[in-house]
Amino acid sequence: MNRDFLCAPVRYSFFALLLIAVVHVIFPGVSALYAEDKAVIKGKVADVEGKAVEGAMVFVYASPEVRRSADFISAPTGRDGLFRLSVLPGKYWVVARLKKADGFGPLMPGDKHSGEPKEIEALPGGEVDMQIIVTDLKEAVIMHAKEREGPARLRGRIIDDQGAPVTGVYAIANRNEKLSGIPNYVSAWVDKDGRYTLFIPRGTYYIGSAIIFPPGNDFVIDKKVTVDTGNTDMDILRRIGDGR
Amino acid sequence: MIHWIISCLIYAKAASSCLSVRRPAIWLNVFPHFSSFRAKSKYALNCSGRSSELNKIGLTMCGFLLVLLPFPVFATVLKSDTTWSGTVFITDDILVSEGVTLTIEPGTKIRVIPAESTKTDPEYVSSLTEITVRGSLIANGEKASPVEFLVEGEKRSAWAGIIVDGGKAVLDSTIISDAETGVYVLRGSLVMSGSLLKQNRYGITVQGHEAVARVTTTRVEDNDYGVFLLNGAKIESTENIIKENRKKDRFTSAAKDYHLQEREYSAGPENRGKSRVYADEAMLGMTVWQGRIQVNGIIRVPENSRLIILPGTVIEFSRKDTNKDGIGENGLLVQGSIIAKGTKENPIIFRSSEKQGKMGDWDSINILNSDKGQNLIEYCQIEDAYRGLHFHFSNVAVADSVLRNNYRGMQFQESVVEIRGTWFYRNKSAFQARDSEIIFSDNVIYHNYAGMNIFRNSITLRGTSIVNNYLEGMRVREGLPIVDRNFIDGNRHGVMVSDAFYGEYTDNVISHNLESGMSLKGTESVEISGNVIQGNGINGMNIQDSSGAIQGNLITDNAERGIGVLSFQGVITGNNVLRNGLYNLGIDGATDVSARMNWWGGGDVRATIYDKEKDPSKGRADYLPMLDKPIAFTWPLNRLSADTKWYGDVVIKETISVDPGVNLVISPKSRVLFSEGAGIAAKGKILARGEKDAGISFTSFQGQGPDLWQEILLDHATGSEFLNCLFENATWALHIHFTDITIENCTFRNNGGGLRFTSGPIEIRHSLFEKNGIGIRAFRGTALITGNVLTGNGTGIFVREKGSGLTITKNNLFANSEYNVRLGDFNDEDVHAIKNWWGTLIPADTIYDARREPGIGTVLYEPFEQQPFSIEFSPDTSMGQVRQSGERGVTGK
Repeated sequence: MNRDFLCAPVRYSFFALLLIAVVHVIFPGVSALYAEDKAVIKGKVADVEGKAVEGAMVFVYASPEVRRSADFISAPTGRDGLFRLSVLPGKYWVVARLKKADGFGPLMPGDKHSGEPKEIEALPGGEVDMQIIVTDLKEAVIMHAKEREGPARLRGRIIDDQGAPVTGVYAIANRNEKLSGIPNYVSAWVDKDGRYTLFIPRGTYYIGSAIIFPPGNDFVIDKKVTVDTGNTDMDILRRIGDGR
Repeated sequence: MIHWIISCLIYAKAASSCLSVRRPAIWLNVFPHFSSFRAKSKYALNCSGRSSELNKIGLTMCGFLLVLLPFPVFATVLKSDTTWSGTVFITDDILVSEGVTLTIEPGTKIRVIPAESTKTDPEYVSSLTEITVRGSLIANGEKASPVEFLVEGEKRSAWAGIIVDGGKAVLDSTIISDAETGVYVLRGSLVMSGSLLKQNRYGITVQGHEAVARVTTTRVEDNDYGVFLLNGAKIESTENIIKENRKKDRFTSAAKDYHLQEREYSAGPENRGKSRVYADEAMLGMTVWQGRIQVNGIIRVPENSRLIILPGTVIEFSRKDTNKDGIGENGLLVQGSIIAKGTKENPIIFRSSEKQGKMGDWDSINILNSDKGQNLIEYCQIEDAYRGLHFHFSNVAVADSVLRNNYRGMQFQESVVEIRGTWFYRNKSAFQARDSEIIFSDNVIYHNYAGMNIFRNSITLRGTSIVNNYLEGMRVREGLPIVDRNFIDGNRHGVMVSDAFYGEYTDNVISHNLESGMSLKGTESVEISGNVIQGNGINGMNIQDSSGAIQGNLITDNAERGIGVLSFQGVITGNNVLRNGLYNLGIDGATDVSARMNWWGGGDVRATIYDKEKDPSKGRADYLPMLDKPIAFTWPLNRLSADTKWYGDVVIKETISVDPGVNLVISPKSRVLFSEGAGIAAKGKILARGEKDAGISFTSFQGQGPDLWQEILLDHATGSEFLNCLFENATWALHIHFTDITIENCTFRNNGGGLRFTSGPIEIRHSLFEKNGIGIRAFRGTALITGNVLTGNGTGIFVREKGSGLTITKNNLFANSEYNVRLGDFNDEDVHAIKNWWGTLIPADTIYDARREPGIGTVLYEPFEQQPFSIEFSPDTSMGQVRQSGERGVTGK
């Protein structure tokens, strides 16, 4: 349960809403007056690398329900990815969509979308400047993973000197070349294709493999590696005859 | 009044200490009379860790309650016998514990105030407010003063209803309304009389062999659905009125239980004595566990410390339940890291130390804020816990493990997780995750109440079987899901997707779920392609407020609608949608639906579509132009674990296995197109019943020529049938072991070999074998081969060994380039082959037997026919089987 959500509104909402309601009932012209000063929503549609996206359209909705006809729609972005549209002042939810095919209609596989709608407040006479990133599903997954600045992921296969997968082993990462006891990090036993995955903090490690747990002295170090990126694909060599 | 006072005192206590380690806790429910108090009530009850504010609010509320509110107050978990009377308000889940009786006096009104964001704690079943009965619920309503459950000023289906889970409910003169399910019996019993269930989504649902109900003189009306009996549940129903429910009055459905061989690990015999016994303890530095460990408290592994558990270790937790809520508190709390690395031979076991271990005896393996490196749970079996694995802000790999008999198998959030090769079974809920990055592959989720519940995750879910779960197989909300090549069968609901802007659901088999196969609600850029959606109990797909692309799917044999649409702005194209019970496409909303270029199975397509034409209030199905033949559909999985039907062109790219007990039905006019090296290996039944003018062909996807695909292997596949089939271009078309089978009216052409078999008994009747390296090869077999034509092959029939069990008679055996019949070097038995036509007056010239190689047995061919039998084969253009009439020994009809 989202407790913050439950807790938040109690302090403010009742009297504020009451005041607004009274103002609107007694002075209905006030809202109409506000509505006459339009607001502008402008900005740039970009891809995951920040490059301008041409041909995207920005859809503006007056409610969080965005699976319906939009209240305002921009012209397709040009090469510079820029868009601009005028709206009545108010709260809006904005999404951008890029369709390969011309015209409106549902997105098809390969088309791009900006995901959850972005909520904005467009004030009378004001401008809202925003950058919207459109992605397909796989780009969104990658982008989401980048946002999570966690440990590095090493993955690959444990192979012999013929390049064939080795089974019945697991990967190890140790801060020292000499191992006493349990390695700092150990993977699960590899699958039938020799594949392993290992999450480790960024840094320098001796990478190798072992065939029993705990490995004791029965392990093989393949290489010393400095890991400083999120994902590293790396095969680990275990020569035929290495270890037991 | 005593109730009120006691409850207020309890409330004050709760408010001052509203923090539970395990569940952030709602100790009790207090319900303001005036709606303006509701927000404050929720605030007070649901915010943990704010004790000073809570104290103030709690005391203030007590004041209000004492002065203003004439209502009782009740705890979430009823731990002792309790009686309700008067008016009772509930806003949160109520659990009637095992051994406890909740009695409701006549005339009591239970008013449920829906809690919109009630989460599903593991001991509950629904995300809505529910009354869960594990003890006894006795509602003593009377005709003049019934007991009444209803929602306070809210909409229909706003609360879950009464859920009997291991207990019993006796409901007399009780009115239940506004619930998702008025009474849902999952396990246990219901006795109901003189009652009324109205304005619920489901009136009564009884599910499973462990659920029984006796319902008398009860009205079930004005619900969406009346009475559902699922999975073999029993109901004794007399003098009831079940009518005027909007969608169905009664529904009975049972999923086939495939009796999967559950993975189970057991402790080695060397672990009899206890190595170490722990109470509450913090383990600094590195600790290594091996042998047998007894845990009588909470073991904490602080930050920067490590717990290493060696293969073969058994960790047992004693049951300690200080707050008497029925759930044990001992467990592990890992803030450093844990490596529990078992092996297949020496797994690690986490379990209750009680003699009769049961669900919830201990808490969990909790991993908190452990994301610097990888925690590892491998070859572990975790059972009898509240949550088997539970982690926040952590990095965890789980491999080849078992989570069973826990309230919840695994739950986590804000974590990076890889789970593979792991079984989840007999948990109340198997898996729940949110806001995490997940790789979930090759797992099995079987026989839980609820399968997977994933919210706002970036997840790749692949190669997983989600089977026979009582509620939904998989529920997905928001996030970035890639869901492919999974098998989702026999759950109440297959896949439920809501509020999703992204998602790929490709190449899954979603079949035989009791109600819907796949539901989309509030989705946008979602791709549904290459899936099999077949044999679901009501609709194959339900779509509401969604857009996206639905293309390249096979949607068949669902009991009502293939695709049921309330509102959809996407496209439905390039699918094979056919043989659904009521309609292939049903539009129940007012908007039009784009559904061009699909194959609807031929015939009167208009009749299979429900839209504006049948009801002017509905939208129009834009289904023209349509395909006049099926799309070639690539079968997505290489294992058939559920009964399956193939239609149209089915492409097989890798060898597919058919599990024992499974029926594969191949429909007339189908073509099974194999890629190089592919085939079928069946231990279940293949029922390929072609018709005279609508045959079935098994051929190469690449083109013409022998050895372009592997074989169809039937191994203990008794009951299989092949009628009016064409086999061509295979290495061995049919390869049969230990199977009682009849092959009739088939053609084997241009294969390395046509048919080979061991054992039997086999009957091969009225079939044509031509242009194969070998027509038929027998090895220690028993067979009747009669009424066939074998011609143009290298060898017509080759008897490898033990040929005395063969009877070869009334066939035309001629013009095979080497021999019509050849006996192998190891066959020392005579073969019975009388009354055949051999294409010559000297049959021995066409036979290789003892006459040519002494000691290998003799073909006993006399008497033989002087003229060919007139054996007719039906022309079938789809099989390319048209033959010229009058050709020697073979005629077209």
